[in-house]
Amino acid sequence: MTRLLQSYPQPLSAAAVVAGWELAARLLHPAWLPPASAVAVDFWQLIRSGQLLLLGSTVRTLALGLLIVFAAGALLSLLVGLSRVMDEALAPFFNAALSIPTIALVPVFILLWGLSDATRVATVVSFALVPLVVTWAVAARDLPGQLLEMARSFGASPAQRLRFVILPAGAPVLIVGVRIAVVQGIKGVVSAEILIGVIGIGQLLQQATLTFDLARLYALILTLVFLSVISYLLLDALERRTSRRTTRD
Amino acid sequence: MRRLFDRKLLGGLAVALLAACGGSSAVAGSQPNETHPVKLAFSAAVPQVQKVPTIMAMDALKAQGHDTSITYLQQSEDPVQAVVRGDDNFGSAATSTVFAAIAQGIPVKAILQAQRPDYVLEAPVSVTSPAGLDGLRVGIHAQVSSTALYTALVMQKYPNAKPKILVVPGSANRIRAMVAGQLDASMIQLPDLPTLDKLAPGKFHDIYDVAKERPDLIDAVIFTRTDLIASDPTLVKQFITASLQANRKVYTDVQGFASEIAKVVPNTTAEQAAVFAKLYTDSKVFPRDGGLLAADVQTILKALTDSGLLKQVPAASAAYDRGPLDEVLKAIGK
Amino acid sequence: MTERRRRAAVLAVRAAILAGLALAWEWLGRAGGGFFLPPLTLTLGHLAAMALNGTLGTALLTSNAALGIGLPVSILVGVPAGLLLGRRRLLDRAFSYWLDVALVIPMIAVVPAIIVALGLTLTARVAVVMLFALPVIALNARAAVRLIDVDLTEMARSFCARPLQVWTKIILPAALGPLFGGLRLGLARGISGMIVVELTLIPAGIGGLISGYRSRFAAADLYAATLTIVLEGVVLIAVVQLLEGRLARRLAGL
Repeated sequence: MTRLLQSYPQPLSAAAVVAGWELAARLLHPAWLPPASAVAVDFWQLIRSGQLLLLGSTVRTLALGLLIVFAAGALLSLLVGLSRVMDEALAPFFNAALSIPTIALVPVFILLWGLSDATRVATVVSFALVPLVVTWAVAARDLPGQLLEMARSFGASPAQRLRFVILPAGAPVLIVGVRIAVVQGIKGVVSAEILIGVIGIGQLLQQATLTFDLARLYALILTLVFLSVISYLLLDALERRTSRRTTRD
Repeated sequence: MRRLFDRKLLGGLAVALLAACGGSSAVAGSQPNETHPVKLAFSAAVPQVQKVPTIMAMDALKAQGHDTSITYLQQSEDPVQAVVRGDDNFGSAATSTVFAAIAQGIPVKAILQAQRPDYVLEAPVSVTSPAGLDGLRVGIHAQVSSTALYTALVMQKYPNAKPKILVVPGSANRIRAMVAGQLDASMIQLPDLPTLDKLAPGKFHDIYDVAKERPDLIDAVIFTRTDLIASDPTLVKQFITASLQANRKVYTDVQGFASEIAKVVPNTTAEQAAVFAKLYTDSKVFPRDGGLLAADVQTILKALTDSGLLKQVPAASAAYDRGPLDEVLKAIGK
Repeated sequence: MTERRRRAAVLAVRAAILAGLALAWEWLGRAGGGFFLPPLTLTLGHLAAMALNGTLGTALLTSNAALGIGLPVSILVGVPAGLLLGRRRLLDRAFSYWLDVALVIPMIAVVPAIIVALGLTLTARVAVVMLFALPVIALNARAAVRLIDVDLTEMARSFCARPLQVWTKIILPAALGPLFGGLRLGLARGISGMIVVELTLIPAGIGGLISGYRSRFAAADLYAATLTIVLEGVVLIAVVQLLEGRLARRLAGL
């Protein structure tokens, strides 16, 4: 029995939690906790009704926001990694940015740009940019100086240096940064959509909130968790592939 | 040298980014003699019964050859932002919201009264007067909205009763929150009452009928940018003409109104539509002559300050412009 | 580059950024008409007015009541939970992924469930703050203790030191980083949690002010209230960093 527990702790604990949830919900009927089975049924109805297609708008805006985050993040982290002056100068700004309760900025964005994409894109950037820069700067700072020197003495061009030395060496940290940015981005775009109320998957969440339809709410949160897990697994696979390539070299 | 470059680059980037973002929030301008499409923004997420005459007017304008479009937003503030930014040319929203915006200097004006109030205050059957709402959870649409205003006006007479206010946008949502037991009372729109009766029969009843008690209140207005009134008065008058004709048609052809409701409002059967049509025409919710009477404007401005909803209200002359409406009335008669 | 010139360059860059941002804000505010982006000077003026007439003070007190209870409780529960997860492999593998999930979902989505469970009470708001802050505090405590996955007595023997000395001189200073990192993140997230309920369902406190100003198109007031909460985050976390520095120096001196 203990061996079984030790081999599969995660699925078993998940199963235990779900079972406990179902029992507690059916025996105690707490208003805030519909039975797991009701949530599952609602989740299925959600998929069948096609309302999840609203995710299209969410994902599109998220992708746009992340593009900006990665581009600006690359520029800023290179700036900070390669110039000691900029690194030290910008440090308190990044520190302050990480201390901001970023969800407080969403009402200002809504006032500025209303329901247009700019609001959600700005939220994604505000949630994801600085965590990404701070992470990627680590890679930029710790560029293996000796490797660069070696590449230079072999006459490699800056582009070749980037492709064959800098990127593979920094790949693990780069992927960690991407993971952080994606997670923060998802939180940003969904939070903005909830506060806006009428677009994307946030619209469904807001609807469920206002009507206090908790089964629907949990079903939607489950959807978000699935999406996050899928993107996490994808990025994890990507990380393993890139680190394999580096170690092979 | 490199250091200077870094700083300038950063500074330039920052300003460029901010400028790019800031540009889109600038106020839209109009060129004289420019034909504008008739783009309308509603402050409701889905078509509702009280919007139907306006939708009928938009259909008429489209048949006349205008380029029309309707955008459904949710918060009361959204149509104002959409109109100011130029995304839309006309907006329909609660008077409270539009006048709050004008008080802040936003360059819009009301040109037409969209409707008189069509709300009732629904409360548990155990509560017989607003005094009984003390400590109960009362829902409103937004901190500045028709429901907020009416709730504040009603509770003014009972200063010792202090309800707990919850912001739940959407009358249909507030009904479901009441059914779910998360709200005790709320101002509900007339067409949503049958749903409340169906989902929670015998649990709620109305303790104040705003439609009956305060028909003098301007519930919602149609508004547009001040510069559009100056630069394209023809368009504004065409819009007003279509709206008045639609409002009048509603009273003369109640059945036609009912079939429009059934067609436009989601989840409405023919029987329900007939009931709503009769209800709205009996209560004279839509003003045949465009409403917006000077006395009524004074009333609502006073109500907004008395209730404490707005600390700043616009001067009457800044709040509305009857010019186009008067000209249309002269042309088509009262 | 000499040390002096570098320090001067750093200060110059910081000054340039601050000046650039301030000027851009002021200029864009004036250029755009000021309806949706008020100039910086107007915003600061409204901020001063709100601070002086007590609006800000009352709102901050209401909101921070939830933070003042929720954050300490999150630490009291989260740190031991994280330490436990860090030391017990089986528990860790079985349960820590729930904390990972909590970090990944937009917690704002869970707020209605809390309202239903606990009503429109301070308890509900405290619970929301804890939902936002606890997972990150617990996970960082777990990271801290895994950093120092050592056998205390073994270390003591090899260093010819008493276990207590190993604890204070080696383990605690190493753990300080992640622990305080978790505290800083927990604080920032806790402040978000504090206002999130007020931004939507319950118009009270600073969040209530913000959504009210939005409803009234009072742009300068909206920006001023937002600036207040942003400053609260920045100042509180700066204080935590100062404390962390002090604590680290004291431990090193012990």
